[in-house]
Amino acid sequence: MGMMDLNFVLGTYLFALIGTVAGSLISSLPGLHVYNVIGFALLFYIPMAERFPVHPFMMTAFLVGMLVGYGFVFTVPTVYLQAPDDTLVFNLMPGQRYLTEGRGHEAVVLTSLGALLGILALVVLAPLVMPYLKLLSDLLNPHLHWIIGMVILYILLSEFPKDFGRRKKISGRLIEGWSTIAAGYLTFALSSVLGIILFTKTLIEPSRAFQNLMPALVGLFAAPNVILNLISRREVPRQVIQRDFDADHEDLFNGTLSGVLGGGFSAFIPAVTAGIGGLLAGHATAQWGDRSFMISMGASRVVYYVGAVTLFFMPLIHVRRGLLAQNIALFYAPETHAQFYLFLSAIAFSAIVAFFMTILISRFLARRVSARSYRIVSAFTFAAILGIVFGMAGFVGLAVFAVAAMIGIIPVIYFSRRSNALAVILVPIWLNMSGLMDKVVQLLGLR
Amino acid sequence: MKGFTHYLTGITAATFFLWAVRSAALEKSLIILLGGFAAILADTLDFRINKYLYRHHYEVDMYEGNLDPRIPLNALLRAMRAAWETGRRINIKFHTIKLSSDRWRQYSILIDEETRIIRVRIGPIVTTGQVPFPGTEPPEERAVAEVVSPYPIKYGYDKEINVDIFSGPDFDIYREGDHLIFEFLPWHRQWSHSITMGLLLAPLGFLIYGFGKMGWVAFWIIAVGYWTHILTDHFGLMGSNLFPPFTRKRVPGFHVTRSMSKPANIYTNYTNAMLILWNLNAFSPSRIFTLPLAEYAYAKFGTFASWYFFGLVNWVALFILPPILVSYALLVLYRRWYYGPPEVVAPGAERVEEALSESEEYLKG
Repeated sequence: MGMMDLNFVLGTYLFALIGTVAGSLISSLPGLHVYNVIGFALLFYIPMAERFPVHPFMMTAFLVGMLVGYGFVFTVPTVYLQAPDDTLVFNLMPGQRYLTEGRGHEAVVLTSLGALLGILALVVLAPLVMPYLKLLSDLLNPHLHWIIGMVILYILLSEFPKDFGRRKKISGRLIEGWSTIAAGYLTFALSSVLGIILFTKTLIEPSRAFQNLMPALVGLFAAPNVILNLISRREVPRQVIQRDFDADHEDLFNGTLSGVLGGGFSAFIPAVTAGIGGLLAGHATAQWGDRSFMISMGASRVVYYVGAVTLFFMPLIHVRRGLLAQNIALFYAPETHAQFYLFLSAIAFSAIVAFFMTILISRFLARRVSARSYRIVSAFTFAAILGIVFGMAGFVGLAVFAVAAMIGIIPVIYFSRRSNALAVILVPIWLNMSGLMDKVVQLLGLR
Repeated sequence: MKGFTHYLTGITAATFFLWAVRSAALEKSLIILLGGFAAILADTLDFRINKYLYRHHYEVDMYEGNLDPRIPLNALLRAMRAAWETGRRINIKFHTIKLSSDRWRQYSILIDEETRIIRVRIGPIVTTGQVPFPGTEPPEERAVAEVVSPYPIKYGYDKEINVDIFSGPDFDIYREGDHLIFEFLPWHRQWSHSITMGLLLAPLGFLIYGFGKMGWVAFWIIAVGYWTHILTDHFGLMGSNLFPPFTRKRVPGFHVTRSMSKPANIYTNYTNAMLILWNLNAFSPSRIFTLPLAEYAYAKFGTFASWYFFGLVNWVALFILPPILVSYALLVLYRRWYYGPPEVVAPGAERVEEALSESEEYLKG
């Protein structure tokens, strides 16, 4: 790359910085996924890319900065406003607990620390594993259908009854114990059908097609807790902004290890998102404890999002995983090792900026979240979510959102696993890869 | 082992079947999943069904309004007396005390085999993560009840058992000679964790794939997948009942590791992942890589079997063993440096920890 002079490098960092700050601010809003914003930005940028006064590489640095900012800062609305996305939904349980104990800021810091360590691991490991990834990709490609099937089957088989049941008769105890599993399976079935409809029917108008899944994801993952907070009378205690945290080096190591494995797996395997990847890796590494779990979720999330784009920037590999990589491919094709290393250094720089942005935004919100009634906070959150869904996907989007929210609330009420709702993505992609989609679509009467 | 480790081990076992990998690659078959399904089934049967079928003669079910340590203590004494006098197995179940979605009242039961002291203590309120809220314990005089057992006890577990989250523990008490024996989670790792059960379930393969070649492949994938669960569990302490109805008791495990051990699970899963990769490559219609020893063997013997076997040895020697050995050596050195020499833990305490951690893993999800 002939233009790899100091000005170009500094320009790349500058755009990464702008992107990170913009992504961080946008990510403070509950329910808004950075992909939606990037989608809109590209809608305007791509037609005029050649006339745009900025080098496409700098534009990618800006977009990746936004993604890194989102990867870090979205923890804040997840913890304080209880409005996660699909990748952070498992973080909600310990996050909720920490919030009710006045330790919301600690939950945010631990998750962000995991994210920072995840990026560090990504930057160090990416060049080392690069020579093997092409081989791995060629080896696994014919087998992706059963690998995704394996993830789905594990979700279905690994949930166990949480309650023993107090009834005298065996049948009564079985019914009591199985209520959580039945609720989980119902969530899985309904989410699958919703996903199949969204993947096969164009519900959202074509000009906004990239927003097709957004209302469903927000409805399934962000809305249920916000709705429950609106109905219930729970209040959030005053949040303590600590300077010291009792995560030891083993928590950091274990959390990062499982997060990087989970994020790496989900970045590489289509349809598997960071939440489920992190969960699987947590089980695979016998993870235990809230702190380690939150660190792993932070790491898994950024490795998933940023790792997917990193695969695209790897010379000779250029695997297009994730929406950002697919969109960047529309206007830019990375070629050289120099570009790859500049890209890695830009994400490391963005991660440091995003980490401090997260701390600042978390402190800002921690001081305010307990100052008002949590129902009012939840009402504002819900209004923001509705506004974003409507703005992005219109009335049809709101309808999809409502259906998804009703499905998403089932596991919250019955304490079954929320991972079942991830069937909205997993099942349609798995059906496509297994060549079964047409049969299922016919069976459901959708064609 | 953890549920995921069992699952992945079953999947790995399935990839050792050439026709399973071939049909997955060429015909988009899902037959490999049968291995994972079978491997996790043993615990599914126990934790989803068997525990509900088991009969409890006594159930301790306190709530926040009637917290009294004498309630579980008296129930336990009654169960012990019934076991002593009737000579039958008597089961007692201790229910947990749920206060809200994330709050539980903890109580603990201590049974001391040597002094025969049985002590129940009402503990603090804890979170689902078993983190206690300090200051929520009742006053000492209302928190503890203690008695000396009128019968000699063979308890085997020298650890205080906490009853706190989700579903509480239960144990069988029975008389053997002039002692009362306590057996933890008696419904777990019995008929479901047996070689016999694997054989009984294997014909499901014929049901799915018919009586042709793939039916037999599915048959063996289910049987072997199921047996991997029994085998990996056997590396722990608790063991399994291997050949019911011909055997009635659990055969103790090999005492190599514990089901919740982090290194054991990580290394097993790493080995699984690497073996899967080797098998996918070896059995694929077009192989992507080869290894020197495999090539040497093929040149010498001229058979695929020799290529596969020597290649596998080469793969294990190069990519599986060195990372495990080096990282384990580093881990041991680090632990000695940071924590000092390892503490000796009584085997009974480990056994109960294994049983409880396994049940908690499934409950927590």
